[in-house]
Amino acid sequence: MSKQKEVTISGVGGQGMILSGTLLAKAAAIHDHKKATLSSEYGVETRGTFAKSDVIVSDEEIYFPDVTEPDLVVCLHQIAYARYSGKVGEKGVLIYDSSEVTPDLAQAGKEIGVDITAEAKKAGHPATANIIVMGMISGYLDLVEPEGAEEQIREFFGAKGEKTVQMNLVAYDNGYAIGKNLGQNRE
Amino acid sequence: MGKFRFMQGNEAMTEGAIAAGARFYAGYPITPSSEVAETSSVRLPQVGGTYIQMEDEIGSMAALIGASVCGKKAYTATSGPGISLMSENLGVAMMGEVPCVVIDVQRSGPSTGLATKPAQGDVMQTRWGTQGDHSIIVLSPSSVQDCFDLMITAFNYAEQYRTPVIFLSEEIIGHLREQVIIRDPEEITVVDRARPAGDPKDYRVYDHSQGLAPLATFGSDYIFKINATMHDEKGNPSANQENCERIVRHLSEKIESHVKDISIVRRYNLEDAEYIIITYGGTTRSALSAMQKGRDAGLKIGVLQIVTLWPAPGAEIEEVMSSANAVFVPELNLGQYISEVQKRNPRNIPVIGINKTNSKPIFPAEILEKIKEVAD
Repeated sequence: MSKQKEVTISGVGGQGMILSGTLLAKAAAIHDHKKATLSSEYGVETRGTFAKSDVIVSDEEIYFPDVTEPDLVVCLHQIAYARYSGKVGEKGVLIYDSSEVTPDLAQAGKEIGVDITAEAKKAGHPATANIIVMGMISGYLDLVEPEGAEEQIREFFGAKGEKTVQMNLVAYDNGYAIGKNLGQNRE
Repeated sequence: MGKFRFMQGNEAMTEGAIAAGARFYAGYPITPSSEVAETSSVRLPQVGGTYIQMEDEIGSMAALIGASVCGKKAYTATSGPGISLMSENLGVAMMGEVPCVVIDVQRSGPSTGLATKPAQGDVMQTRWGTQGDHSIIVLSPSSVQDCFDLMITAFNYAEQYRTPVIFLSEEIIGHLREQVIIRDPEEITVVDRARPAGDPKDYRVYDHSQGLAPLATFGSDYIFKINATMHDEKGNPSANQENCERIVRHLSEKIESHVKDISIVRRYNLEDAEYIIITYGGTTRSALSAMQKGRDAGLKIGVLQIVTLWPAPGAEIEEVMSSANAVFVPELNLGQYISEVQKRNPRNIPVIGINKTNSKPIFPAEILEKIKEVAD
């Protein structure tokens, strides 16, 4: 792995991508003492149009904060998939939510489908999909230390009660295991 | 050592303002600046300050002037459409010589434009948005740390020079999240405006004969008028021709004669640079990335980052123009600042604008491509 890791989390507005990106970048910066940035793009509408967040984690100063050479692109919606499929570069891998995305057959073998929606329901609530994604990214790229991720999840969901915290920790762990497994298979 | 945090540029602006001693915010939220309002509404009451949600940006700017002459350090945040509405009262603050800080987090324009997309289209608006001859101080951050540190500088300049200061960011930095050190009070220098000390009867709010006049506080023993009409030293209306000439010149010279003290630039790899990128704001990040990639490929690229956009740091630009083979000016507009470079080009070297207005940031590769075209 190079010293800098770049991830795009894409979908449509309202899917919680900025949150998953922020928690990852924050864990990298605060717990792991890495350089990290989170930049986002969203439409002028509140929901329903293309949106993404770009996470960069590095051992060195990060200048341009948008992803230009992705290690991983996650697509949670067909609109986002249409934008990135076949365009993630040589080192990049695309993972899509197989419940939401009908993949381009021409890309079969190069892209990975994961039923993120089903995994979220399994963790306790469909809204945990973004935390599944957070775990999956970290597992796949070895992006942040588990303690730092847990710290961020506890801090963010703490006000909503221990039950919500636990549900999201389960979502993170499940996502992490999926990511780790995918990463190992690839190697 | 301060507190190590991970936050958004807009949030760090609020923290910087509070660290500078600001205790009054009046504004009307607008994307992509809204988080300044949001965080100010939470943070100001915690430190004994006041947050007012105003009816519009005209009222916001008026409230800033009122709060400032009542002795508070005051700020607001807006974007292009709001800065247009604020322009008239910004003139009142300028002519009345009332310190305050106006944050403009630029978005794609003109007019309503694209609320969530970045641009740098307000560079000239902030310089000349309000009518008549005047000078103004405009600072432009390129990191979340800048949003904290430079905000303190912005308030210090406002207090020191009795003037509105514009903090000109854009969506790129306003919405960027990254690490920042929220410095402890003992680590920062805070300037407070000079206050009068003599007999209140002798106080002249616009008597600048002994250096910039101190600014008294409304409600104190010092009785004075703030006046946007041509005024005499006490603030009373005056149509005296000599006085008119003096005031207009004063409004420019009080800033332009301190350009050296006000100018902030950052130099990156200029010593041996053959190709120099002159840049500002969020585009600096693209320029630095292009520099790094270009250097890896053997191109001698340097960057001059202009932090104080206005007054333009002429000497620093001239220095670069005397050594470079070619200069590149990337801007998220059709070329608003490039003229500041072009007019300081005695050797007539190529000055190449890299301009973009499609609602996307300038990518490092786009800058590098232009440099390679010239280098080949």
